[in-house]
Amino acid sequence: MTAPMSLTLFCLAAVVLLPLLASALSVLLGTAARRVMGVITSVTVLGLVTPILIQVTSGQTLELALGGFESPLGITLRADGLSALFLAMTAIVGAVVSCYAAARPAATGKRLVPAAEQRRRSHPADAGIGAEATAHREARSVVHADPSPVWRAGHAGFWPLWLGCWSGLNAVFVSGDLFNTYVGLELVGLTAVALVALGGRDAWPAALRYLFIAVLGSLLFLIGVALIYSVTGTLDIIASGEVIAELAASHDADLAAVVLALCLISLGLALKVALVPLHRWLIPAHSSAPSAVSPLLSALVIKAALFVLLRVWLWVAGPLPELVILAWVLAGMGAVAILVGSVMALRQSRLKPLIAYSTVAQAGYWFLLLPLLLDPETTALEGQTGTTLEDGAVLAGALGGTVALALGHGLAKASLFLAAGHLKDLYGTDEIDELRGAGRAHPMLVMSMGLSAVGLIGLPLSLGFTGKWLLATSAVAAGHYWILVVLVAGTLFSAAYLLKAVAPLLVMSEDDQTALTLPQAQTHPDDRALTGKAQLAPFVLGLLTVLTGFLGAWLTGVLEVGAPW
Amino acid sequence: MVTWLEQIPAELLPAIPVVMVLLSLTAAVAIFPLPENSVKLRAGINLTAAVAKVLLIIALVPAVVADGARPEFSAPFLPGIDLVLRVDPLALFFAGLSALLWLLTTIYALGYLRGSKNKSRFFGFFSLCVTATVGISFSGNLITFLVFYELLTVVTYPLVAHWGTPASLRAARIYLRYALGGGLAVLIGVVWLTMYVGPVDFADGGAEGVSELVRANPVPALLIFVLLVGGLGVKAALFPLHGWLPLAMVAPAPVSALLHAVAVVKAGVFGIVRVLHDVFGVEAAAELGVLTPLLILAAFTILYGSYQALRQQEIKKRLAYSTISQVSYVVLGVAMVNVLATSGGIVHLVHQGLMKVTLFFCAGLFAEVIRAHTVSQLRGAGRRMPLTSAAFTVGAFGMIGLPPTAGFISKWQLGTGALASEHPWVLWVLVGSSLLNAAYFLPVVYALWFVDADEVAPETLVSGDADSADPLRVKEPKSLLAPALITAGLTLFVGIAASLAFAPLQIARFIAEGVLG
Amino acid sequence: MMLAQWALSMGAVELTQMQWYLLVGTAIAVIGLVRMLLTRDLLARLIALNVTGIGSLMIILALAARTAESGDATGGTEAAGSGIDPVLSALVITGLVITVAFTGLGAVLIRRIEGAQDAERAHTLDDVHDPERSGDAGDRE
Repeated sequence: MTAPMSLTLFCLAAVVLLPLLASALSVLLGTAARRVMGVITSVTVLGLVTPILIQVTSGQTLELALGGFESPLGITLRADGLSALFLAMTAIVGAVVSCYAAARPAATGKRLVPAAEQRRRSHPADAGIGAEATAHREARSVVHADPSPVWRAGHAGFWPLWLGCWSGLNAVFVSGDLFNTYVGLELVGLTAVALVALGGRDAWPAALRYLFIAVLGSLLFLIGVALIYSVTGTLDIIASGEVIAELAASHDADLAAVVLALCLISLGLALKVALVPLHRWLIPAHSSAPSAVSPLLSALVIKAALFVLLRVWLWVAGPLPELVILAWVLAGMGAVAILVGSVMALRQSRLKPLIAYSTVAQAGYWFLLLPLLLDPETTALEGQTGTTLEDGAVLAGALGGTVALALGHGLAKASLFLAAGHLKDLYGTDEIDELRGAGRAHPMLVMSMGLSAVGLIGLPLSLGFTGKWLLATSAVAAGHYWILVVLVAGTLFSAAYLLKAVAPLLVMSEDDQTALTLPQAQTHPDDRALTGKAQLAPFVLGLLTVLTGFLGAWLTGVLEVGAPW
Repeated sequence: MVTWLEQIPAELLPAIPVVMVLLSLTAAVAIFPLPENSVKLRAGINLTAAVAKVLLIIALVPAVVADGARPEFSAPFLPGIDLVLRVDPLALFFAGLSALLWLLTTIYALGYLRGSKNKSRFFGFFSLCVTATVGISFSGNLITFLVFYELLTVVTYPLVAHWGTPASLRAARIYLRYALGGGLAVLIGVVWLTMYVGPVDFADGGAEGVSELVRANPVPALLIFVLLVGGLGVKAALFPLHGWLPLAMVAPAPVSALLHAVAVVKAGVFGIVRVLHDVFGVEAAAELGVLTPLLILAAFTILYGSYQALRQQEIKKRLAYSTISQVSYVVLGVAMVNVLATSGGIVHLVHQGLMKVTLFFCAGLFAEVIRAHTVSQLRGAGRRMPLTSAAFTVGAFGMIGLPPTAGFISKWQLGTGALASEHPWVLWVLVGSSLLNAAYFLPVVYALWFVDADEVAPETLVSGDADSADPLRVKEPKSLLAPALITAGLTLFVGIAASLAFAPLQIARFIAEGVLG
Repeated sequence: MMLAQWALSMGAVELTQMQWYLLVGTAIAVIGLVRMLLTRDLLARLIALNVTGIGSLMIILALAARTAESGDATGGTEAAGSGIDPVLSALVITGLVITVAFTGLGAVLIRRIEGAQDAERAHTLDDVHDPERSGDAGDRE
């Protein structure tokens, strides 16, 4: 093993262990130290992911048996193109959001403190005064009842939870076997539920509902994994895929167990991704979470489940003809999700629920590829003159498109949620009507919302466009024209609801003075972070949404590394 | 002057298209964060970028037109597809138009928006809009074209909605609806075509593989053509996809100029020319049998737009319908496959731009200075604002097609081309349209000059200059007047000097000959 | 139920001990699930979730036994012959640990939610002229 290779393998283990370690350590630290630690960890993880990405891009799948044990009981870490891309997106979004949370501790949630302490520290310099209006209202209303505690913005519990969540995400992405995938998913789910609960009293019921869903999804996944193991005798993703392929090749084999396993796994993961009609939990959870948490949930947490879904469908199950019904059902649910999510998004009057519904709609796109996987023949254009398709192009295009859509959604949605949360903290409301004209006071925020809208609609240049392009071309190649219809409808819908969200903030009448009578930032002048550098975070992500549009060719190249075809 | 320009080293040429795209992009990025009150800096950035762009275009002309160079830049974008920027004569033609008019419109807009709010936002998007237009003109394949085409859609939205009034928000929303729908149609067409023939590189006589496709699979080819031209027809305001354009006249006058003359409508019609000439190729298009329907559609749009214009009392609305009519001359020209008509159509890209921008500049001046929005309010304006009125008259005469304006050259080319083609009836369309043009422009001109100023309603008597000899005489702001006069002058100049080397007509003929052999 | 049918179709017509476990596990899981979906009481829901969890883990244990029985046929080499497959047992143990963790978190959340509701109720009694807050509380119940 060459030196740089071992270094990269070290990175592979470190991306999982470092955040976990930091999470554990941060419990022991004070509030300010946690912030420093969080930022340092996030930057380090970003640094650790880089060599992995470079190594994988050069065409090498990384594999590391942790602790020397071999499978099945040992822990195998494996990074191929899919892993590397998701790792990179998580690292970027995670680092930016960490910086944002460090710069604006008030965005990390709110907590109850005894009233006495509140009075003693009534005007701290940097602590989050920019609390949400609800917090203020509550604070005002309880202040006369002396012994009862008061809500204060900022929750230091954010850091251990988020770092733990990050560790879980990375574990899912580099896991080489289904068992570790399960553990990673659980870590993500547990911490994500707790992160939602940081949003204070309003968020607790949402968090609890999320918890039920997360556990249920995991249990279904677990049974599915056990079924796959009982058929293949291994939990290793690649090895089990090989066994299933062998079984499928021998005609007399009974694949009912595999089909059942796929059904359970897909159902469990669909719960976690919030695929319509299993989406209802997502809206309260994502919209009531603190400003720094919503972007993580929407951009990263549901991506973990999506990642596992892609892994299982492409690497473990392979194109079994028995799965065709399931594939169509899921794709149909995806198409319905785009419709339902969009319509519901259009009916929202508040920014954060609208964005949450947009997540539901966008999640639909990621399931459209499943029927393509089972029918990857370029039948429609076969024998045509000048057709430029090669074998495997449909699979590569469908996967590339889906991954591009998911990654682009991660960047764009993180930016959108950050900006929306920031506005909500600033004005104490996220009613779109009341935020009319906010763009004049906060051009950067509204600009970043515009950039992420470009990404979510899928206009060029953006990863969203790349994704839609790849998905559409492979759909046409395979003769699945319905995908084209769905993509077109989805694009129009997303344009409609994002226009509804962003346009009133951007454009307002010059003689319209309502913006000046808004609950302005002046009500919380102490929180300088609200108008300062923290605004850069959504802008950076919005800019990346657009700039990554150039990476289409590179992305499909990276996905070829360790691809199952 | 041309000597130093000819010395551009050949290895620098491919960088120029990129530099030009980045130039206005950089301007936009620099302008957005500027505070409202840094007027000088903003103007400085705008004008520097605009002037630099015009100079770069001038520098490219000799190399591209005379030496036949095709500076090209490409970067990987999607698997198997590159982003390609390439300068060919048609690209240069369109880019030259937009660069020149951008400069003038910027000067005009600086004056027009003086004292209003949200200027950084306005000029930022303005620059982005021009970025998109330059990108569209230099696109070397359909994907690149699509990228910039969609960018144009997005960045013009805040411009149309600039005033933020309910009417402008509604207009902007409808514009976006039309444009995104059209963009999607183009996207589907591009996806489909790409599946058959790979990256659709623009090439004289049609992209690689398209003519085989037309021969082997005429039905999909036809559908693709309809999708592409239909999608582009939205921006080009072809009937029945023109609905957004008259509504969009609520935008500020410089934006109207941009929509009608510089960027949006032109991008649509430029795209149609590209699809016809460089994607399908005229031969394949003729084989598909799409040219005659396209010709009929264009002819109908010309007459319909003129007829509607006649019915409008509001000046800007009248101009908007006139645009619908005039832009279709371009389509009309390229759909009649001969050098005369095609060069007439292509040269009309520039000619219509010059004339229409003049008219919108003047309409803005009338609206700003004497609050005249309808034709009847213009009565006697010739005495109050003689220079503006003169410029308007030149533009109007151009639209009608009277010599020696640019419009005459276009119509002459189109008319002779029609006689030489297999559709001589088109000549009657031209005659009819000219009559209609005259019917809706001459009353305006008449009202300007020959109706007594006594009939001027008292409420329109604003800012009369007491010191001047004529108490009714009003002084127009120089930064608004100068661009209008320049474009009016150019309208006359390109009409009179149409036979000079590098005059628009000559370049258009060069392009037409290149396409038709 | 599908699972049970599948188990039936897999081989023996009369149920082996393992298949019984499979059936019972499925039944428990389904009962828990139904209860969880039907009840509105938060604590009951949490308990029902746990019941579902236990049922699921029982299914896996049954599968473990089955894999161990037919280990040679399917390739679970290390486990062949011995009573219970170690990998699946590890899966069950992890599942148990995680379920406990989730239950703890859920219990904390429920306590907080109900605590907040109680406080509100008390507060509304004290302070009737704050209709907005009592409305909130009403919504949540």
